[in-house]
Amino acid sequence: MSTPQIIPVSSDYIRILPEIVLSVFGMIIMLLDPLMDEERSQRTLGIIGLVGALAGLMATWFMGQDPGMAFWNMIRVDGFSVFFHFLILSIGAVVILTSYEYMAVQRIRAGEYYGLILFGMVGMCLMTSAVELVLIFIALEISSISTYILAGFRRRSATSSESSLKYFLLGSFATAFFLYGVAMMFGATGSTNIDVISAALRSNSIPVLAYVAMALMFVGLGFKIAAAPFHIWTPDVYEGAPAPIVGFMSTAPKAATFAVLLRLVFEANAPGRFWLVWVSAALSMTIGNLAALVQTNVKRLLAYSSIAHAGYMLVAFAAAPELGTSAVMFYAASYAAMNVGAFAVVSHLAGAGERHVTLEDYAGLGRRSPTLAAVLTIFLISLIGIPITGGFFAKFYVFSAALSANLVWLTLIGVINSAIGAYYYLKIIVVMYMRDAREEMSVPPVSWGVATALVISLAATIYLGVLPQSVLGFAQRSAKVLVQQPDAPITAGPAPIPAVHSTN
Amino acid sequence: MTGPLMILALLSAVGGFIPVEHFLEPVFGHGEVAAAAETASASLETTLKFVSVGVAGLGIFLAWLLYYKHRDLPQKIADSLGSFYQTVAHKYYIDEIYAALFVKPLVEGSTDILWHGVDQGVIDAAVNDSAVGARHASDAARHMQSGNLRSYAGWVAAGGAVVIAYMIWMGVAR
Amino acid sequence: MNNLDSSILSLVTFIPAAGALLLMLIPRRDRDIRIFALIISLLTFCLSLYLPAYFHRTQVGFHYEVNQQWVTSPNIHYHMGLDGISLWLVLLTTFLTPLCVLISWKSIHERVKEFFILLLVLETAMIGVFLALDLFLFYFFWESTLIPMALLIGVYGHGRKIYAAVKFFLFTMIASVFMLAALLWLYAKTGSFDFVTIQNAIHSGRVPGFEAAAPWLFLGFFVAFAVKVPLFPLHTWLPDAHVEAPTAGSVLLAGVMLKMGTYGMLRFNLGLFPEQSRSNAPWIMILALIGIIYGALVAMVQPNMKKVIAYSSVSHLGFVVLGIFSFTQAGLDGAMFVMLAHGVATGGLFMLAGILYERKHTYEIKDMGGLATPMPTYATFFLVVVLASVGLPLLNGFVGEFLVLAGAFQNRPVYGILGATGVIWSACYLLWMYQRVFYGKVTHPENNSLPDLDAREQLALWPAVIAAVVMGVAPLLWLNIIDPAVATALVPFAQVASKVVGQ
Repeated sequence: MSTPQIIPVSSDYIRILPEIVLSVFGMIIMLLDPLMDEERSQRTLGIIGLVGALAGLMATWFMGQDPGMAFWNMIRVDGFSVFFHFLILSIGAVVILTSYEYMAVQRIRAGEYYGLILFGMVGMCLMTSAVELVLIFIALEISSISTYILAGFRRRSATSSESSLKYFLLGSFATAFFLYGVAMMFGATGSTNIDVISAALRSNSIPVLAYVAMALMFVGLGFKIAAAPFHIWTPDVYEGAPAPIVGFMSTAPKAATFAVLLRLVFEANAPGRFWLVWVSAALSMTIGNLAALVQTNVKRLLAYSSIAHAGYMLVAFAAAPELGTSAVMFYAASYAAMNVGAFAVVSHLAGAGERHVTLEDYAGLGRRSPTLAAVLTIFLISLIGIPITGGFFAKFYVFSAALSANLVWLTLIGVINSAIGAYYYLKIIVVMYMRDAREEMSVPPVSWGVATALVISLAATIYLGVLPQSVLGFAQRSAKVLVQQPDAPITAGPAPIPAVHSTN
Repeated sequence: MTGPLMILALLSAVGGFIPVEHFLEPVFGHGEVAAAAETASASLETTLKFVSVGVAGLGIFLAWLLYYKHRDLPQKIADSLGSFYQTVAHKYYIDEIYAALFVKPLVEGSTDILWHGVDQGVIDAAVNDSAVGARHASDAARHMQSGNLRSYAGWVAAGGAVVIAYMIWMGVAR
Repeated sequence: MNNLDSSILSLVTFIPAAGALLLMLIPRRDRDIRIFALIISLLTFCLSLYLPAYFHRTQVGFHYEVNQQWVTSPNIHYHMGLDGISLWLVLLTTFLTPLCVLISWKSIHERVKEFFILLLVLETAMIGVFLALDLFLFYFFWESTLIPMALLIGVYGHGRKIYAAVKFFLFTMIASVFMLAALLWLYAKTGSFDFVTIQNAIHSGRVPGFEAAAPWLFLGFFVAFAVKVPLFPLHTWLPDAHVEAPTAGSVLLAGVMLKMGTYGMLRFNLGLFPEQSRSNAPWIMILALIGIIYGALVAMVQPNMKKVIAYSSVSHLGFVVLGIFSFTQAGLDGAMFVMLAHGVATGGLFMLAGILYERKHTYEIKDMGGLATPMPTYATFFLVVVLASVGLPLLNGFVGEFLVLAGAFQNRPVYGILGATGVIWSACYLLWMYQRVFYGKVTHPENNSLPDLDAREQLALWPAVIAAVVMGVAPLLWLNIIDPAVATALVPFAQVASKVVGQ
């Protein structure tokens, strides 16, 4: 009989090192903000934010050297979580780079902005390595609250405040569903730990309560990834929020939530998921693509497109565990690269007060600023899914995963949707190159921050399109580990605290 | 232009007397067939020679008569023959019949039926209509966004209700 | 020579793309850009001459093969290879591109750099389509042709160029996603994208679930190719795209890109799904016949010269499809030859139309009339190309059409008879157009001062005309290589093959 450990060991702290680093930098920013005067604060705090994100990346590498369990089996560091840590931190770093110029143009007092991004990343990273449902909920809330506030950062604009409030109210509503689902799952299986739940769900009789729990959790998580029928908030929120934040919101929390879904669905072997995912995927793709066809506001158009892309990613969920997981991981990475890049261009062109976000404002961009137009064209081509870009391989892996599982109809719906979806991306390309601007609006020169952000996104998009093997290989190895997890013995880490299982 | 005509005239007159059988041997052989038909006799040959020259001469005489000597004669002949003359003059109206029977239906049929009717009216219209249809569907989808927060919450709740109901059904069915 | 063998295909494919990358770095001096583009395209053409020169006719299978793993999972290889069917199509592409550069010398004067970058990228993609032996690679190159061509039409075209570009893009893309679904299914069942591997697996019956899925797979591939060819009734994107495109775009679109569709039918539909090809052949041949006659009849009544040529493409490509699905040696040989002949002749026609447009800024036939008087050299070139398109013996069109009709007649006599009427119709519309444009009195006085061809334009036209004549009088030079490849392709069909090429 050993005394239960109540103090975490040092290896536990290493396994949440990125989160610790990010929190520290975030707190530094929050502390420094009131101490510095307005003019210089933006520059300095922005640099600190970027340094924090980069430090987080290094911490992730460090953390990845020693995979295992932490904090009484609440946290698992494996290839899967390291992948998502890298992804989310890179997205954060690129968004911070994009924001420098944006904040200066919009004349927003920086301050908390960078701190909130870092805090948001804490939540998202934690979500991907947590294997304890309550911890997932906490991390989900951390990330959500940060993004609620960030969405309303353009304080002088009514649409921004509206989008923040809508996001907050609806988001809390949906998260409540999730929490209720967690409670149900505890009632059904007696634990909130994913490994224990998965063992319980693999037995022959699964209580109805587990199904209901799964449904409720799906509502909450589906909201965050903007899957139909829980997508209704996306267009309004994306339209109002600041453009770099939309780039952040559409990629990082989505990736983190997909990581949670992957753990729930494949690791915990959630029951009854097939038709749920099938219908949700088909609806998301169709509604997202159809509604985007007539949009004239670029941010709203990209919002609907992100609903459609959530649909494509969900298709992989209906497929086999290993193939599906690696396909979703690759898709999350390539979607992040192209979407963050696209929103970087949108942020740059938006102008003070975000005046220039409609298609009309992009007319003749091919002539006014050829490099910027070419870069945006490559991101749009990637979103369409044309070869040489990461978007093509991403769609390709998802559809081949689906076909390996004989999901012919879903694949057909998917490919037809991607063809139809090509139209609205093409519309932007057409407007840029084939129409002339009504008045000669000059495009301001690109600052170093936006330029670096664009170079990174562009390089990632093309790299994933030409040499996808390294990223895909990593994803596949991580997926294998994830899927086999319940059979593998719970490795390093102290014994679980008995208190968790005592009451019944 | 006159030079070549003179040469042609000279050859026309005396060319028949130039022996070319030997030159044409590779094509026509040594004239075995001709030799076999020799029995058709020299008299037939002479008769044909005189007949053809005679007809040519008659034609020259008629031309001299109608267009040189009595210049009013052609018009009088034409008037007396009336519509028959008209028909022959218009080449038996073959060109007009051909145009009406073949060319006009073909051209008009191609224009109206095939080009405007099928190509533009059916195929292109189908393509363009499907584009219009997509636009209507898009408008319908986008009008789901009412902007009203409570209706949004309603959508989430409704979606949730459907999902929960389905899952309960799945759970109970097992 | 040996190491060139394994890398020649990659060189021929990617040198234009490398040239496009270099072009991005060259400063915007229009004359330098044009010369550089010309050099690159000529270099590619000269390199591609290596391919027939060292082609060993007796070697079975694919030549100059290069096969390297690109991505391990999924199993994608960089597998390129050449046989008698694709050899001349590659040469057609490299032959037409320098001519396109020459013909666009003066007509493109804005954003010249982007134009030639797009043209060179397009050339790489088109060559890649013909050389790819890995299904994924094939799809990769196939889709890569869409954006450059759409941009060429939409930015550098005229009239309803945006409508035409978007229509072209969406029509072709929506059709090719069905091909994507089909090839993903094949990958899921065989674990490989390799054409040869899949073909063997299908023929030896090792593909699970194949019998049920085969009709759909055939259709998936077929729809994508049918839109490209274009086969009636999926042809309506063609007139718009051809008419509104810039001259170089029209030449490449008609000369090469349409052949991508027929090549695909030959290689993939016949190669992978012989049973389904045979069972679907009747309605396909009927559609081809309709295309031949319908295309010709509609061409006859078009007031726009480029539209006449566009619909004539529909008609000619109908011959190709007729030949392919006749499953006879003559038919397929003829189909291949018509592909090449049409590329040269119609490419020439579009170049000539473009030359006229540069002078008159209109394609309307009613604005022409009696042009043989001010432009006799032009009229002569035009006449030769028109006659090649009509199919006059001694020019290349005749050889191909004759073989196709022979093959169609062997398949079913009535098809041959109906197809033969196509020759009559093509004479109708082409000669009538020629007469209205060139013969008779000059109807519009301003046409009297039109300048005749200058040296550059003649330089662009002579190769096409010479090719038309040489192909017409010495078709064996081409057929000697095509015939064995066609014979191999026909092995699963085991029909009575007519001996077309002696020894």
